[in-house]
Amino acid sequence: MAKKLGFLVNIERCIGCHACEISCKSFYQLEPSMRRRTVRELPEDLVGSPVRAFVSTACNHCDEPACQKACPVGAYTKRDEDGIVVHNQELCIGCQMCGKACPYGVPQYNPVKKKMDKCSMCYDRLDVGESPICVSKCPMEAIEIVDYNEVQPSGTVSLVPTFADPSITHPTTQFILPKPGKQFRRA
Amino acid sequence: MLADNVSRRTFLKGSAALSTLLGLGAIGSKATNGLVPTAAAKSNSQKQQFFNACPRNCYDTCSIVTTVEDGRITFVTGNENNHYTKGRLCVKGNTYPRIVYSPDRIKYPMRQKGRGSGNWERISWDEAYTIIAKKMLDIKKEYGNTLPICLNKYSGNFNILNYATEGMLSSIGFTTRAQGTPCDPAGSDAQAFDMGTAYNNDPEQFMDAEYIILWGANPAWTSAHSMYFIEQAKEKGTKLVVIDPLITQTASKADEYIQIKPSTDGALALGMIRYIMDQHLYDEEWVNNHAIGFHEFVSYVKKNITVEWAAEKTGVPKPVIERIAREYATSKPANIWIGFGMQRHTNGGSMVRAIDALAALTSNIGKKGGGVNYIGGETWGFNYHTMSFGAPEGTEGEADRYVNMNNFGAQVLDAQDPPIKMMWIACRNPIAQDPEPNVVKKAFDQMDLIVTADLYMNQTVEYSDIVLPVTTPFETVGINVSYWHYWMNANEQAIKPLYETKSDLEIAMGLSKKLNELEAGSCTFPVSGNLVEWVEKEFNDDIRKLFGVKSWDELRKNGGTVKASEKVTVAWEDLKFRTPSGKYEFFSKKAVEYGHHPLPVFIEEYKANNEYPIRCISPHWKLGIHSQFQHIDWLGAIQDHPFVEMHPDLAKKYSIRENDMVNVRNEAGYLTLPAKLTKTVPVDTVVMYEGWWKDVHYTENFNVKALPSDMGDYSKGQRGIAFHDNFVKIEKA
Amino acid sequence: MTITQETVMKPEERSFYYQLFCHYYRGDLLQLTRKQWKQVVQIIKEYQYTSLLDEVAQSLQVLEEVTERNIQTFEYDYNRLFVGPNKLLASPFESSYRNYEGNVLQQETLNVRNFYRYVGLQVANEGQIPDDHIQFELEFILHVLSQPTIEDHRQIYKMFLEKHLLQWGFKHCELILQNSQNPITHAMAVILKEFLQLEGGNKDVS
Repeated sequence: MAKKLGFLVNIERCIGCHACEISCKSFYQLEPSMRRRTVRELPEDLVGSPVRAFVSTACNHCDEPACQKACPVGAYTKRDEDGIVVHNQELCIGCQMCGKACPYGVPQYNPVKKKMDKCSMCYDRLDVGESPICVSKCPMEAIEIVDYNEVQPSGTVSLVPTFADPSITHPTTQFILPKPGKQFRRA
Repeated sequence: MLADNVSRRTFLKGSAALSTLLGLGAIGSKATNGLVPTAAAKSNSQKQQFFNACPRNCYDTCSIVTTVEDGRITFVTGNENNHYTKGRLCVKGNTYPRIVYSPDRIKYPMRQKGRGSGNWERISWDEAYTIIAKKMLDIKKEYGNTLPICLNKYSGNFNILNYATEGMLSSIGFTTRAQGTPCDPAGSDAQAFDMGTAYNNDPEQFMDAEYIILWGANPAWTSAHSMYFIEQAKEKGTKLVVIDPLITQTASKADEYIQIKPSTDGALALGMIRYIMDQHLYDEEWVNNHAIGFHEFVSYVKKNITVEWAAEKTGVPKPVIERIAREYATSKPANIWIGFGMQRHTNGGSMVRAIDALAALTSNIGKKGGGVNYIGGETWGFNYHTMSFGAPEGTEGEADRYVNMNNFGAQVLDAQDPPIKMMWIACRNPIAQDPEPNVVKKAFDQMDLIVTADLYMNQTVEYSDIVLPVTTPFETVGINVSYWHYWMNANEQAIKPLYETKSDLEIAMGLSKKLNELEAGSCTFPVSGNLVEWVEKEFNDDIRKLFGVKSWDELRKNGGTVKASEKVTVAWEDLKFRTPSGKYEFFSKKAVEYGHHPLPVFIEEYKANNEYPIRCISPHWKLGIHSQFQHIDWLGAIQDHPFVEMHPDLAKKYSIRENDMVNVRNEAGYLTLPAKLTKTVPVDTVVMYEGWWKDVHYTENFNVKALPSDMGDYSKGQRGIAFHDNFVKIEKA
Repeated sequence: MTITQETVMKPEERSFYYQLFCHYYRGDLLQLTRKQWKQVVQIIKEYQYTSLLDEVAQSLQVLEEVTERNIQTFEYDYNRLFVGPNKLLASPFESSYRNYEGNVLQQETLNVRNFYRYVGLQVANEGQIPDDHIQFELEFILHVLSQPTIEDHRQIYKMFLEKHLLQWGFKHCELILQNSQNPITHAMAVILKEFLQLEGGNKDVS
């Protein structure tokens, strides 16, 4: 059976340090404004009592990628073997339709190359048995690649606050939400 | 276009005229360092990997793997051979390629015409050495000694070879030194009184703990690699308690977070101790056999401390204190990590002593996975060969003179007989990092010559006469250890130094050479030497035995990193304390010698006055280490301006909304920055993060007074700074 | 003066300008006196093709009339623009303009290095100062121009100009003109910009 690879982002472990984002940027030598993975602050009342919470997101390698549907030149393919959504920059004409279509705003326009750019789940690394940069460089080991056809981890969600409705494109990314701890705050 | 033949004659006319005018040979002649015929083919195009060591003032002190292609760095990441770094760097470490290759590095020695004018002229290294050496010799002639020369160097780079700067100055005679550290002195003294020295368990042992209290520590921001072990422990069932005035990133991950009134941590520890004593939850055998002064301590506690009092004092409810006390006392091993933040108070040292006592009477000291962990120095036993050359023969005087680094400006201005006339600044940015920067500037004004060695333009360089360009870790050789974990990391030279940058050690050799040229015998520091030979001289038998590695070369050939013998990774496992009694000292005569109460007592906290009612805490920021990193644009893309955090209820009182500009002011100064409203800070406290100087004309230190903490003189020579006993008023700007 | 398409700059004039700016970016003109600046202007004026362009002529007049004060602050301004220790206001490295965020010693630098290697040259102490410092690029062109009889060199000259110097030279001049606080750095940027325009065949190659 073909694989269905997706990110599993453990928000409980994430400390919002941005190492995933910057190591990806460093490895792929991306332009300053370009990010294939970003870390965003979540509402501080996420679990009830105030906390500092962050979520790290990249391309969600959706089951029904809106980018692929929107692209007029067929620059997007969803790999049969593992479901990774690959953007072919050679074919890209920079029309930005994909960026508008993606409910997560993942494909980003690179004004220097005049092309779109997005996370490839480091498929060339996966193909040689290495894990994606963000996975292997997160100091908290908060990002994993899971074959969701093989494992269905319990207690995960595909929706976090500020995130688009997963019923649109069926993103493969799953999240582990933080568990609220006890807090004794001064009055 | 080039169809017509070059008229050689005419060409020579114009160019020759220019060459004659400039008094130089024609371009292309050997007179310049421009293009030259290609040397024999070099095969440097293959991918190479080098081991480097992050030398910053950081718990994590990572081992780095650097990928070099065509002689340039293409990727920098963590070394997997180091089980603490685990092949992963923090966000800051990931920016190293940018730090090396930003076009904005300081490239050449330069001299400023008019301090602060921004009018810089480029000078050669020889000119720089000459100006500096002549000034040093003039000073020696005029004053009969070199005490008017002052060194202010500290933690910007902890490569052991960087002690060459200290060594170079010791090699010309006795000088004035900025002594102490703004960081840890109160806590370090407290542990020195209690146990003889500060000595922490291996942070990888968080995995072995049954119970963890992070007390005023925020490793999620300041020690991401430790946070990994803590999170892993938590996931396998260890309870994580965080005690902090702020709901930090770390507190956000706690099983239980306890918000404490700032500067009352000692009261909480004593309240817990009272409960533990009352309930007989302490280890009687341990306190009888391995400690002195326990009975005196019991009388103090029984007479002065109640849990009710502690609850009142700390704002933590009595049942919570009791429950935490019981849980801590009955979990074995239980691990406490005391952060540097909680001792930055006028009663900080005494509070650390109380927490130490809590760990001692529950016999959590000397246990793997336990401990009362603060800082350690067991792996730092190098030769410090660079500091070993001594003053030249016939030097007058007996010793260096010290000024307090934590009140630097004022003490430099006060220094007399002789006054201070020249300053050498390395691995520091005092104008951004010192309290009361305006006083520091006044001290600078009094100098004849200010020399600063640095990587990037900053406020201190702006105010210097000469700037010397220094290397990044990737362009030099070194050896690094941590004050927290137990690894030793080799630092190989991965690339050629860019431009005319030099390491502090090379600068020391160059200056010594010039001094000796101008006055033979005026400096004992070696005038030449190979960097690898220098680093090999740092190894001695103790280091070899501790790490099981023969030499730096062996270390770099075998993975670039090695962990110290397991024996030293459990602090005080043999229970042979380095106190005068050899035991744990609840009652410390040494403390009395330094003017303190012999017991871990509660000292009243520093209080706000009516005019400045709001406490202003300035903790460490996640995208920087002190004044380093936050100015790097990769991180600027994440956060590009400083801010002040305040509780929405406090903001409402002053009609302040999110992002409104706020004036934060007290007697020392003021700054204006946007508000970030958050319930993660208490209602009577505002928070500004430390070290921000990019694109603003202030630092958070503008309203930090040089208020000393209670301890530090014993182990560090000087007390620390009560950074967090800073009170301000705020208004909407 | 208007330039017709048919007019062609004489090789010696071209070489002279490359030499002039190579000296300039090496710092050789930093110590010139007012009198020497006048002499430089006289030498430039021998080449009428460029020196009579309106903007160049104006700049030459500025150089002829520099004051002692201008001379004094020239070096400071030059360093603010090209040397440091501050954040450079007009970086002299090609890669600062070409790659994703202005890093030095990047792919562009290696491309430049390959050109040098091709004709048997390299930067002395390679790897210390990035190969694409404008001083080296100018010197390289000068070298290639000085051996025009080698068939290859004409091609190399054109290619290097198009692929490198003209790709960033204008932006560099623009930054100088924006940030200059001194008439000399300003005038030299105008002259360089106009010269590069001619080299680009009056086309906006950037």
